[in-house]
Amino acid sequence: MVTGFVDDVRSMPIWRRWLAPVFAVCLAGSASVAAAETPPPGASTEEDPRAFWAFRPLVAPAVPQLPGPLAEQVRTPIDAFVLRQLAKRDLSFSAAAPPTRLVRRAWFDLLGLPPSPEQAEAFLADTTPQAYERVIDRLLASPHFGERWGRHWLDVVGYTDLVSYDGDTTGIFGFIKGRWRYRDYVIDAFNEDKPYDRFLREQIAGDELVTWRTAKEYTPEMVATLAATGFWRNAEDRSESAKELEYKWSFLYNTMQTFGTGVMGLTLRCARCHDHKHEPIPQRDYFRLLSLITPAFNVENWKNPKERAIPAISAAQKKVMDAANAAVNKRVSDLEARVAMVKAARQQQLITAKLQSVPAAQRKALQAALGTPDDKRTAAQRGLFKQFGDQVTVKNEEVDQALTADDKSVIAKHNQQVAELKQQVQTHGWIQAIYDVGPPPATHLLERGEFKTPGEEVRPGFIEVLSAGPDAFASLGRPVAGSSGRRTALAHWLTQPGTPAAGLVARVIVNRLWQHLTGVGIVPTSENLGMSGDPPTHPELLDWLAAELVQNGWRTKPLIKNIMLSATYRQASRRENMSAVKPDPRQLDPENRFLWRARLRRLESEVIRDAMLTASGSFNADMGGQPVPLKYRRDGVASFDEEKLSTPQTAWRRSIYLFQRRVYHLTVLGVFDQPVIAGSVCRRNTSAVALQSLSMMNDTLVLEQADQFAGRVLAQAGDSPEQRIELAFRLALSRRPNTEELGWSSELLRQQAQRYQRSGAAHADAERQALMHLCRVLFNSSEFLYVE
Amino acid sequence: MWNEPAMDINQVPLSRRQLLQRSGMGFGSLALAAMLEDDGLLAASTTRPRVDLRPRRGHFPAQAKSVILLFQSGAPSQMDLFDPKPELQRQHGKDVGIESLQGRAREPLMASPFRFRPHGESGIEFSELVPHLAGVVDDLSVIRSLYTFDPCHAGAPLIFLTGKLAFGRPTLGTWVSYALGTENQNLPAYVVLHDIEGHNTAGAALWDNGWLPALYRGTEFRPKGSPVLNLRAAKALPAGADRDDLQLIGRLNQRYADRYPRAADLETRIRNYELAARMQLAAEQNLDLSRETAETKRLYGLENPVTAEYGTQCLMARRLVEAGVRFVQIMNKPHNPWDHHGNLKKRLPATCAATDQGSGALIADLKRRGLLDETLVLWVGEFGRLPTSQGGTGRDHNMHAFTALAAGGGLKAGYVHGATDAFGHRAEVDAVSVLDLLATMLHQVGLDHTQLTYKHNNLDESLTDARTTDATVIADLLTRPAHA
Repeated sequence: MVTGFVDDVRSMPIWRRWLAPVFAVCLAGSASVAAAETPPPGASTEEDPRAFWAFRPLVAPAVPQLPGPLAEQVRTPIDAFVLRQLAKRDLSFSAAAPPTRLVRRAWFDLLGLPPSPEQAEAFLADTTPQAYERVIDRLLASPHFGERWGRHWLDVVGYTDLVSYDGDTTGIFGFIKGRWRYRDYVIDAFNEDKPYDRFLREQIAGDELVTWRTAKEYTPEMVATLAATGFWRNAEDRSESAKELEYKWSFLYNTMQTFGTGVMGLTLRCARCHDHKHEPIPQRDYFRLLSLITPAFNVENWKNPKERAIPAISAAQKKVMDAANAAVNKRVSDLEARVAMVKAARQQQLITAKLQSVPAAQRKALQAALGTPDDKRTAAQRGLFKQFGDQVTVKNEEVDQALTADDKSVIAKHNQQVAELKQQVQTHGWIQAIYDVGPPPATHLLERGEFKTPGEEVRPGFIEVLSAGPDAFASLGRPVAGSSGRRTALAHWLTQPGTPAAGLVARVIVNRLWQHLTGVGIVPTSENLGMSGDPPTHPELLDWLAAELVQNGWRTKPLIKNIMLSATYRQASRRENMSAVKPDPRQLDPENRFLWRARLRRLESEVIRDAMLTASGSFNADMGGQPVPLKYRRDGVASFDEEKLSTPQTAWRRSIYLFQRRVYHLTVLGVFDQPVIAGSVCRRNTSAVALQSLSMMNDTLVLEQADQFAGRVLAQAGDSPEQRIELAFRLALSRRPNTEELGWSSELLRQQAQRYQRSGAAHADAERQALMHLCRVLFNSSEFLYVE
Repeated sequence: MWNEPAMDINQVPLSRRQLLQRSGMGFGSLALAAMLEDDGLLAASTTRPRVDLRPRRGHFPAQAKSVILLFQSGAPSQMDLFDPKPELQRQHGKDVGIESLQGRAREPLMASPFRFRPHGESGIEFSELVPHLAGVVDDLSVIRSLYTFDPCHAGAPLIFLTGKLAFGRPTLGTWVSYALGTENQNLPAYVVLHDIEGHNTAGAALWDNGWLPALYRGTEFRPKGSPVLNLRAAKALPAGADRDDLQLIGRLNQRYADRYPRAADLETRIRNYELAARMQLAAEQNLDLSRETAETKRLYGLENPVTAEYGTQCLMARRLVEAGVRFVQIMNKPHNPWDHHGNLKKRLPATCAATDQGSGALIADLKRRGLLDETLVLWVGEFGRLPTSQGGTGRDHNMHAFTALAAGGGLKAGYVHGATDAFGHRAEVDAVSVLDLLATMLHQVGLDHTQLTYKHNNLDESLTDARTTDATVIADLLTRPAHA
C-alpha cells in the first residue's frame, strides 16, 4: 500500500532503515544468495549487474546427460535437470503417483475442478501408454482451462469489478460498467493459448494495436484488444470523488508497483524515492518508465474512471445508433403527447361540468385561476382556490373513467406503439480501456518520490540494466495514429527475444507456471526475481523452460503440457516406508526444495467452492459476462443477492464470475484465503484456521450444496446404503471408499437416519437427510481440500 | 499478501499428535497437564514451526499472563484528551511554523476547547471528555511521548501491529500466542473483537499470522450477533447430529493425516475441528453476557445505546482473559471514529462518550477482580494529531507525538512517562517509538523481543527488528527491573 505522502521525517533518522518493507526481504535475499545451493554462474554482479542471472539474455542451457540408471528415469529434459540436482544430494524421485491421484491432480491443476467419476475411471481403464497425454490434451482444450489459468493472472494484476477504494461493507464505490470484459479477455486468451508476448502487448498497448479511433465498425477482436488494456485499470483509483493530486499519483505508484511485480518480477516501487538499494535500478529509470504511461494517465489532464470508459461500438456505429435512438424517441414523445391530448380534452370537459356547481359570479374568475400555475396566482385567486378548489379538481381516475371507448382504443393503440418503439432503443456496452488522453506531458523525476518536489525532467526510457543502452527507447518509440506509441515501445522492449528484458519476462512467467503446477516456484519469491528475491533452486531448468517458451512462440500450453508429462510432475506426493530409505530424504532436504516427491497442496478458495458445486451436480458452466451479484451485510457477511440473480442457478456459476471486490468476498471464500486485493498477488495464502472448520460445517453454501449432493446421489445411485456411499465418495474424492470407510459411513447413515426419524421425519426424508450429513462430512474431509 | 511459498507441508518433523502419543489426549487433558515447555523453543536456532496452543514459558517470568489491546483507530487527539498544553492555550491563533501535511497551507495553533484538571492521588491531568479513564488514572501509565513513522490510517496501524509498513507480516498477538500458547484450550489463543463494517483495506492484515503458522492468526469474534462466524449451522439440525458428523470427519482426517505423517497443516486441521467443537460451547458460555450482574452491565454502559457497543466489546474482552485467552484485540467501530479533521469540538466528545466508559470500566473491573495484575491493557491509536487547526475546526494527522495509556501487567501506575514540546507537536522528553512500546509489551509477557525470532526467507525475523530499528524496552515504565 502506497500511502503517497509522508511528512517531515528528518527528526526520525532511523525510519528509512526499516520503513521500506523490502529491507528485510533484501537482507534475506543477500543472505540466501550466499547460502544458495548452487551459486548462479557468473555471479560477479558487483562489478557488472548485467551478469546477474535473471538479467542476462536467455541462452538455453544444454540438457544434462545423466549416467545410465538415472537416465532411465528421465521422461523429458525437465527430469534431467531435476534429477541432476537430486543426485548431487543423494536424493532420487519417488515412485509415480497412483493413477487415481494423478488424474485428480491433472484436473485440478488444469481446470480447477475435480474429474467426474466417469472421467476418472475412464483414465484408469485406459492402459495404453498415451492415456495420460491424451487426458492432458483434452483438459488443455477445455474452456474451463482458461477460467483456471485466467484466475492466476487476475491475481497477478489484482483484478476487481470496481476501481475505487473499497472500505465500506455495504457501500460499493467506483463500480464501473464493463470491467468484466477484461476478465473475459484474460480467460479467452488462455483458452486460445495466445502467445504470452502478444498477451502482454495487447494488455500494455492494445489501444495502439487497433485502429479504434477511426474504425467504421468494431470487430469482436477490436473490442477484446481494447478491453485488454483494462490491465492498467486495476489499482485503486479514487479520482471520481477525491480530486486531490495525491490520489492521482497514488494510483500511478500503485500501478507501477503492480506492473513491476506482475510482469517484471521486480520491486520497482523502491526506486521511486531513491536509487534502488538492492537492485541496479536508479531512480531515474523509475520515472523514465513511468513516462511511458503518463500520456494515458496525465495528472494535469486527468480522466476519472467513468470518463475513461469507451463505448463498445465504434464512433461511427455510435453515431448511427444515436441517430436511430433519437428518431425512436421522437416518435415515442409524439405518441405520448397524443395520448396526453386525448386525456386533456376529457379533463377539460369534466372541469367545465364541475364549474357549474360554483356560483356563477365566481365561475369566470375561478376558471382563470385554474388556468394559472400555482406560483403565479394572485392572493384573490388563491382565496378562490381555497374555497372551491376541491369542488372543481379533477382526479386522474375521474379522467380515466370519463374516457370513451374510442378514446380508450386510441390510447391503447398508442401505448402499444410506444412499448414496441421502446424495444427498438439500442444500447451499447462499455469498455474500460486506456488510451493517450493527449500529447505526452513532461515527466520529471520526483525528489524523494514526492510529487510536490519535481526534479529534472526525464526522457522516456526503460530500465537501463535490462536495455541495450540508455537510448534503447529511441529505436522503439515512435508515434502511432493518434497515440504516442510509448506503451507499444514498452511492450516491444519487454518481449524482443534475445534481450535481457525479454529474458526476465520469460523467466518470470515460466516460474509462475512452475509454481502453479508444483506448489512452489523455482524462484520461490515468484513476485521478485531480482537480487533481493530468493535464488532459484534450479537456475538452469528455469532458463531452459524460459528458452522453450520463447522458442515455441511464447505459447504457454505446450510448456504446461511439457511440465506435466515429466516424471518430476508425475511423482507421488508421499513415500511408503520412508524410514527404510537411506539416507532419509527428510533429513537431506526437509523442505523438499529439490522435489524428491510431489507437494501436497491445499486448494484455493475458489477451487474448493467450484469442487463442491461439481460434486453436488449444481455446477453451472455458463461463461463470461456480467459478474454475479452478491449482497453484503453490515457485519461483512457476503451472500448471493437472490433478488438480482437472473435465475437461481446463476448462484452456482464458477467463483471467478462472482462480483469481485477488494476486501469483501463471499464469506466462505474469504475464510479460505481469497486475498484482499491491494496490488499484485503472485502467491496465495493457504491458512488452516478454526473458522474454516466452522464454515465448512455450518455455512449456508456448504449445507445447501451437501443437500444438492445428497439429492444427486439418491437419484443416481442404487437403493443400498453401500451404493450411495460409494457414489458419494467417487463424486467428492474421485475414488471408492475402502472397507473401513464404508463401515464408518454406513454407521453414520444409520445413526443420522434414526435421529431424524426420532424427531418425526418420514423414512424417505430421514434417509435423504442422513445422506446430506455424509455429503457434509466429505466436504469437510482434508482429502477434499487438498490435491496430492 | 505475499506469504511463505506454499511450503511443503510434509516437512514438519514432529507433529503434535506424535508428541501426545495419540491415545485420545485432546486439548482439555493437555490443559490439565499444563505441560509447560522448557526446551528453549524460543531460541533463535529454532527453525521448525510449532503448531499447538499449549501454554509454555517465555524467556523470563511474565508480569502479565494476558494482553488486551484497545486499538483506537483514527488517531485520538492528545492535546484534547491526555496532554494539557498551557502554551498552546496561550498562543491560540498564532502561526509558530508548524507545517501542515500533504502540502496544505500552514495553519495557526488551535487551543483545546476542553478543560483539563488533575485526577486521583497522582494528580495526572486529563480533559473533561474522559471522566471514566480519569477515574482509573491512578492505575495508568500515561505515555505522552509516543511517536510513529507514518501519518496515514492505512500504514500506521500496520506499523504498530506488525513492526513494519508491510502486508503479510505476523502481528503482535500472533507473536505472543506463537511464543506462549494459551491457557484455555477451548478458545483460540488470539481473539479479535471487531465489527468488520467499514474496515480499511489493511483489514485482516492487522491480525494476520503472516509467515507464522496459521494456528496463531487472530480469530475474529463479533461483538454483534453470534460472536463467531458460522458457529452454528445455517439451518436447524437435530441435536447430536454434529457430533456424529464430527466423529466421521475426525476418522477420515486422521486416516488422511496418517498418510502424511509430518504434515503440520493436516494436524492443525484435525485440531481445528476439535477446537471448533469446543468453541461452540466455550464461545457462547464465555461470551454470554446475560450472566453478568446488572451492576456490571451498568458499569460498562450496556444499558445505554451510546455506550453499549464499545462497552460490550470491553466486557467481552474481560470475559475472554478471565477464561484464559492470551491476547484480545479490540478494533473499535471503524470509519476511524477518532479521525477529527473537522468539527472536533462536537465530534471528539461524541467519540469519547461512546468509548470512555467502556475503557474505564474494563480497567476498574479487572482490578476489583484481581485480574489487572496479570493483564496488560493498552489503549492506543495509530498516531496523534497536530496542535494546529485544520480548516479552523479540526486537527490533521501527526506522527511525531501521541499518548498511550497502559495499565496492569507490571507497569507503573499513576505514572506519566515522557513529554512533548510546548504545543504537543513532537515527543521531546523520553521519546518512545511504537517499536519501543512493542518491545516493552513483549517484555511484560515474558518475552525478549531480540530473542523472539522466526526463520523466514533465511532471515531471523522478529516483531521489532531491533538490529535495524534500535527498538528498546522502556525500563522506566516497569515496576521491576527489566531483564537484560
